[in-house]
Amino acid sequence: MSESTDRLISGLVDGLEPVAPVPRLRSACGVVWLIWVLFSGFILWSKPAAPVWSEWTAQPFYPMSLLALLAAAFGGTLSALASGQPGRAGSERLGLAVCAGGLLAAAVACLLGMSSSGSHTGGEIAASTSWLASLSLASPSHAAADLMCLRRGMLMALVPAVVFLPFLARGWTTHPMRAAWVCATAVGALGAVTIHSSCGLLEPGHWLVGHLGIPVVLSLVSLYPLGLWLKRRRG
Amino acid sequence: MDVTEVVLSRDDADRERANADRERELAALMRGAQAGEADAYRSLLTSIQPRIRSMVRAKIHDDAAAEDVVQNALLSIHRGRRTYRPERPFGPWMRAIVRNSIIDHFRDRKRRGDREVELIPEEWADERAQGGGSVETLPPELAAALRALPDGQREAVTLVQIEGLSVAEAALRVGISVGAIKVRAHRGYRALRKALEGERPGGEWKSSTPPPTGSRRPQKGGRS
Repeated sequence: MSESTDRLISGLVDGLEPVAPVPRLRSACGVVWLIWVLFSGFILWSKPAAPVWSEWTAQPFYPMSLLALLAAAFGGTLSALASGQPGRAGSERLGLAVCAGGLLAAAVACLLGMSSSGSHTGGEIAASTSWLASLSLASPSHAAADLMCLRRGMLMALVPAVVFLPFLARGWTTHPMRAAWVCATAVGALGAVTIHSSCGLLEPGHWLVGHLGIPVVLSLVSLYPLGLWLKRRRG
Repeated sequence: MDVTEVVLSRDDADRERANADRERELAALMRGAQAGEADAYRSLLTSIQPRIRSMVRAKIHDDAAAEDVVQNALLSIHRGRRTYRPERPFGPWMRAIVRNSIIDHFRDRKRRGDREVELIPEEWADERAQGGGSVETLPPELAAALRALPDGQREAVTLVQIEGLSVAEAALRVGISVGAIKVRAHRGYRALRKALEGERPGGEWKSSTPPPTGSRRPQKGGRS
């Protein structure tokens, strides 16, 4: 043992203060999901144009894409929270695999939906845009609906983000950039599920851009600043 | 099973039992450390040092660099101690942090390269090594250049190069991360080099202090 290391250990011991351990991984995941479920429930309850069961079965790729997005959201949450606890590499990797697989499956469901028959126009577009009439879009169209859902989804992602960040702040990430990507994707996927379950436009092309685009855009925009922040917090 | 196999399997079982006892002991010490018990924390850090050192030496063969990484790992364990869950095994938690310190070392080395900064000639480094490290013992132009640095850079250079602390010790003393102290020290070396190049055009020293003699290797700018 070198003299310098001896001095360091003495310095660390002298500066020791009690700390509360981070919450259990399953408790942290539970808190994030509970708050997200409550928030999404409120949105669905207040949204008049959410798809009803008959519409779900009329468009089979809708429940497929919804379940896939849910899987991506849950997997991403698990991976992001596990990344803040060293030694949880197994949970981190499992969550990452489920997240990536979920996003891929959602994209495939959208593409399959687009290639099948039954694209919806007119009434569904009007229904999806009427709910947020305050946005005052000049003329409803897919592009406008895509943009609107992207914006709404990113706003809705703020709610799980606010719950997520304190958990990450207390953690010690072994791979800050990867943790940042997974966290942004998870938060985006949670926002996407909220939008996907409340959007009245049963159009797979719209889901691909306006809903699945939420985690993609969020992760691109926040990867670097969030990764840098996590790296600095780690020290 | 023959006798040899019985003995070997009994040895394996004993070894496993000893490892499990050791793990439980370290987990208990870590719980004590989280509660703020200084004795438990000192025992823990002293006990895990050999393990950390052997993990590091398996990947890093340079003595000074390996010791720096060991210290960085200890500092990271200190900073991340709240992330240890008491019901989980201690070993995987510790190993993840140590592995990360090793990866950071290689990443850092790749980023900075092996640039050497001709800054403090050997006889001044020797004086520091003999425990005489202080700004007063430096040549006047170096001392003046050091005083002209911004506070953070001057502090980093003084702690690491003059007082001879390791990067991890300096980071702990100042209360910032290892990465941050390295950045400050590196910027300080660059600024000093610029200032000193102006002081000695053509390699001649303006002061009465004799130039370094012999063909000894100049001091590296930063220990890791």
